[in-house]
Amino acid sequence: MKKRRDIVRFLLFIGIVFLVNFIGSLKFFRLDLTAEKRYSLSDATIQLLESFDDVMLVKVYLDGDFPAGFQRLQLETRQMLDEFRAYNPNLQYSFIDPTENASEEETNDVFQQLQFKGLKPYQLSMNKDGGSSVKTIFPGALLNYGESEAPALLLQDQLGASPESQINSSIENLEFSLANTIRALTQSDKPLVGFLQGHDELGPREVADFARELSNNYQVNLFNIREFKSDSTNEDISIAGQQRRLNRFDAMVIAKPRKAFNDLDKYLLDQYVMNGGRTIWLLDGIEASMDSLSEKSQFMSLPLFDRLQLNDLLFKYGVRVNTDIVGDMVAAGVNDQRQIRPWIYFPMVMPQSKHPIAKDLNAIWLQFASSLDTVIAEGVKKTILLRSSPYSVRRASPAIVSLADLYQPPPRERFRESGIPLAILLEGKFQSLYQNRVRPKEGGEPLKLKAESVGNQMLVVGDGDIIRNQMNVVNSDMPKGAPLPLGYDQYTGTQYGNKDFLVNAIDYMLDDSGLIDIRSRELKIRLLDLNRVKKQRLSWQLVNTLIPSLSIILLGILNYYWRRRKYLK
Amino acid sequence: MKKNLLYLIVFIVLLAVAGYLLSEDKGNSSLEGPQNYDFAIKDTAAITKIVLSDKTPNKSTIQRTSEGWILDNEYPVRRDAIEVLMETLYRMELKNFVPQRMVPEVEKHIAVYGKRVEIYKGDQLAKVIYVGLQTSNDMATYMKLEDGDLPYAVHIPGFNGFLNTRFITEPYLWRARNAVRINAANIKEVEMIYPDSLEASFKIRVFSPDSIYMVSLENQEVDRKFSTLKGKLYLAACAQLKYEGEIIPSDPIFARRDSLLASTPVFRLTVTSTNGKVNKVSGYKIKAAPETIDYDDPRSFYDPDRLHGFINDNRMILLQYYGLRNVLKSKEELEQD
Repeated sequence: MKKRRDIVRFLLFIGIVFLVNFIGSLKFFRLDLTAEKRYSLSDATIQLLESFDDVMLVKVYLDGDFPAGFQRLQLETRQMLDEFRAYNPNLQYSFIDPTENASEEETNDVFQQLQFKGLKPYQLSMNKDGGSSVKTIFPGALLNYGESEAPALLLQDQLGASPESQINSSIENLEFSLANTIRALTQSDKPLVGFLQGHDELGPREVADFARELSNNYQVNLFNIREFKSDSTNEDISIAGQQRRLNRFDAMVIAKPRKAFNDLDKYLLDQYVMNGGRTIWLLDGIEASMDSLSEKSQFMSLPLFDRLQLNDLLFKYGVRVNTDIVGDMVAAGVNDQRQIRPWIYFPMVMPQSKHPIAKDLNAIWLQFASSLDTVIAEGVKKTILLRSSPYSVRRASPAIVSLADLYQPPPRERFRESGIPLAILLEGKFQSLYQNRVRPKEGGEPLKLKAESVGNQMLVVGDGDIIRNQMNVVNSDMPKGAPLPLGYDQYTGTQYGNKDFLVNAIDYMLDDSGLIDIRSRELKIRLLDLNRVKKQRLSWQLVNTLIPSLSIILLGILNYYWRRRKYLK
Repeated sequence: MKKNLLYLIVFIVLLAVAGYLLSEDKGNSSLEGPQNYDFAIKDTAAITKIVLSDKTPNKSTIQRTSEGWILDNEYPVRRDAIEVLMETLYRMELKNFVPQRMVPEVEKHIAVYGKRVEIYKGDQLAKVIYVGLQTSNDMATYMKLEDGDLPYAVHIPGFNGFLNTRFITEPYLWRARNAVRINAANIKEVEMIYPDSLEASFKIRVFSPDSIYMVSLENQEVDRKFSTLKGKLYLAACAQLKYEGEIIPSDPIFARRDSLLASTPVFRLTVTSTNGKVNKVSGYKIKAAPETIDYDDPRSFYDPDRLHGFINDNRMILLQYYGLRNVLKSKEELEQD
């Protein structure tokens, strides 16, 4: 009887243990005990999730047979979505394997459609059954809300980074990727971003891809500061009216101007800044272009920035664009139709900053960039977002740019400088350039002046080409002259992180929800101290193997004596 | 014993919890379940009948038979159309939920413009789908299950477009475009009359596969120079004669039907099968558009590519010279070289 009872008890105990484990596998539950709260959603995300009341369907294209790293990304994505659902059950998700189709033709159709919708394919090498194969996957999701659809890229592409590190940074960025796409789908009032025209800036086709990307979250428009609208009744033109039109924009992108800004342009822009308008200055310090090398083997790069007459304005705000050319040994490649060679005048900037704009971004591709300097400006905080590599050099202009540098790069000893500032973020209260200065007049009266800005931000980059997308020449499947993705070099087939950098900058400046701050959250990977591992390896191995077995033996002995004492009585 | 009871209670509670969670678990998806948006039919081979109707009112009943799909128990069905419909039923899936504010509008559109699609497996009605209009971006179609609560946007992954046009309700669009469709071995007689040229007109009679004769319609005599091989090829061409499209009453050209029937045709083909069934096809020239140039006959007044026609003096059709190239033969062309 007793034996039977013990067997039943044992079986019930085993059953309970099994059920507890089984329930654990079914029910998603976790306590966030990590120091950096890696498993907790930010307040901005929670607020965003609580802001929509219709069903949102997230289709995640991460189902299938993956290596461990991608399985982790898949699991983290699912857990993140479950976490999202805890705040808004209207969010529904489904994991899809895009390769699960009846025929290869259908799979190709699905791939093409996913690419068209903005997801990026990733070639995954897999070792299986002693052989290796390459599988195309789309580590991303399509979010559907209402009648709109938007992509979220779940894998952070980083040139030169190991797959493991890419997965880690992708997991860190998961909340931002998903939340930012949700924001794009759900926000009704989109801030207005303008592209300044009037000084031979880049045209709409040259900034088409960036503008298209921006249009997910923002309204985008051109603004020609030189074109004044006349009053419909008396046909008068008004500077104040132009200022009002300019001030409608929440941010203004000044992309590679090539003609001088006159005093009125500067006044309008200055007052725009004083009234809280965000600005992104993408300025070339020197005049240089690869086109100049198509006819001759060398050309003279001439100073350009002085001609723009923006020195005084930017100097007042706290930055100076130098009329030099930065050479860097860590450089993007140029295809000479035989091979791809690094071209020292195309710095490939690996963002080192932990600032949310630049953190964990792919390399940024600059072309004939100029260095920046910070200058004293009271109340303005300066953050250097992009710096050259430790092997860089500044060459004063006019300087000869020779094709010979492509085949015989200058010796390494000449690249002695390190961390030359190439992009600076300015934040704070800016002082007006027109404070204590003669202002433009309208109707004989000086125009009104706001001498100090409200809290404002501006980004200055020493290269105008950072925003310029190439036009298709190489790909026969696309029309010639069609804009290519920003940061994609069709001649080398490399994708750089220019677009993410600029989009992050706009998000940082215009997003009041604080969503962009999620990007700066760093999840520490707590690795073992290799020195200690080396020294104490044996002792820890002994501790780990002997202590548990000795403890069990000790418990057995104690139990034996306890039972002996109890039952001998 | 008490301890065992406690274990048992804990075990039962855990079992209940696990059962509940298991029933709730949706694996790789949080979607509630298929009851509302499971539009696809994964075993299309089991479909025996599909009835498609709208409020025009149009209604097409297509049924699987041992000889293929048949429309309204009478006409063979276009193979490409049924294949596309089957693929659609197999592959379509949920694209998106309809925003709450749009649900009444979408339901209203489905009620007015929607198509009712009844799908039968055996004698059982397996599913009824209401197919509405397309979404504003043309990338999906609103659909609703008869016993579903809400409409949904449905699409086929990888296909850029909408699906409602694949659910055809007009019977004439379902019909296989065969003016004549019989087994060549079952042809008893073929008569081709060219009213403008009686010397080219002929009749081919089949007594057995080895006994085929051609009779001139000019003098009713058996043509001794008739090539049996050419004759067999001719019969094969007549057995599967295709047309381009059917002209229906809503087409403006349909108004010319009576005057065409009263005029002289270019040809009149009669195919009689061994079971006595007669198929008649006639063709009439079409006045060419002013800018048309027939390079073979620049002075021609007629369309060089197409003909109007009738099947059994009833259904008005559009024929192509290309489709008739092996049928519009003169008596002489069927003689030995």
